[in-house]
Amino acid sequence: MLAEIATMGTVFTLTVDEDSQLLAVWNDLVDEVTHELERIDDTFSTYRVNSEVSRFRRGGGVVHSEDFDEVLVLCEVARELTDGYFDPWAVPGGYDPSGLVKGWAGERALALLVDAGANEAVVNAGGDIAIHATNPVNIAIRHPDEADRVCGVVQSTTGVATSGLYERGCHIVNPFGDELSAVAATVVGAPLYLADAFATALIAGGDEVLAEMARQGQFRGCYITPDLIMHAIPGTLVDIDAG
Amino acid sequence: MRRWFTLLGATVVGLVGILALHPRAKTQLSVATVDKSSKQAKASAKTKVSTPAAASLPAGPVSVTGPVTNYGFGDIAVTVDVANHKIVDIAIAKFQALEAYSVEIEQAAVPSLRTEALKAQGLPIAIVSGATYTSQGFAYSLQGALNKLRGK
Repeated sequence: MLAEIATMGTVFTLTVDEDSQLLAVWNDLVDEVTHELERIDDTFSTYRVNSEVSRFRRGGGVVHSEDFDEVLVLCEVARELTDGYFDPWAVPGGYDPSGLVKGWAGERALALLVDAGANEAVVNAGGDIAIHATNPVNIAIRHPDEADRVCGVVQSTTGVATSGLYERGCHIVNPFGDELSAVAATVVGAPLYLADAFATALIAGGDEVLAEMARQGQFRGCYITPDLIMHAIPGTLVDIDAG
Repeated sequence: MRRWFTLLGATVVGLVGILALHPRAKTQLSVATVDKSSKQAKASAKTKVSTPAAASLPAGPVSVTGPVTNYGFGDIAVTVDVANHKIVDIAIAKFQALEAYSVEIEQAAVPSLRTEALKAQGLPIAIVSGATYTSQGFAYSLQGALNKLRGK
């Protein structure tokens, strides 16, 4: 089964295996995921003036949800592991966890599908992919300049996150003030919130972040420079014949 | 066409690398052009956060360190400082890093391919990873097109 949910300023695509027992409850399950994602958007959207994040940015005295505090801690973990290249506190306007929340939300949505009994499930959270599968799933990486083309294939049973400067323009800042290293970056592995943060960090830090990621050993990944050279940890991309 | 680069780094982390706040031995990569220690200091300074009162937090001041969690590549514990019902600081209390390493980074020109070409090579694609699709952009995206093919 397949469902599209427009929320969080993007579109989530849910897919589960056809022979699952889920068909009878599919519509209810999609509703449940939709409500959960809308609740997350209510909490974290920087576009909604009354979201918890927006109130926090204004220094408002509000009671925090558990989700807010969880993401706050995950942001600090991600900042540490990316050597500061992912830094939600360095964003103009104040604390902005957007670079991590989409991946985190994708995993939340996937957990609902798996809890409901899905054997194989994939959630594409606007380009960040949360996967529950026995065998590796082929995931194509969008070409940074051509929306209808792809520039590589990765395989994963857990997750793939991509950040890029296309579509939303230059919304990523280098916390250290230097120029950005990449126009797009893809990270393979789980947890997806951290893959998402690393993808953002790669845009800023390039080789330095890629080498740190390889050293930590949790993720594979690659990034694309403005002159369209792909830098990758060996084993990230499936060998394909570019013709 | 394809070139291989090797980045060498050396860490000075001991066998039991249990260290205090921001303890991780920094590696100097051959490509690094910026002093990482100064960047780390800059980053650390930004760690201070001030969250408004949460009903569930104690009056404090108190410092709580969570359980050491294995993230797959090392052990991490997060310390949260609370004062007056507010989280005032979050820090990584423990990071057990890995030993010395050598990293190869592969470089190649970016190809431009259609999904049909991948299918012909035995790589059928149903999922595309890309930077955030806006709702409007999604209609014209490859993922949107693939979904339509599947009857959505």
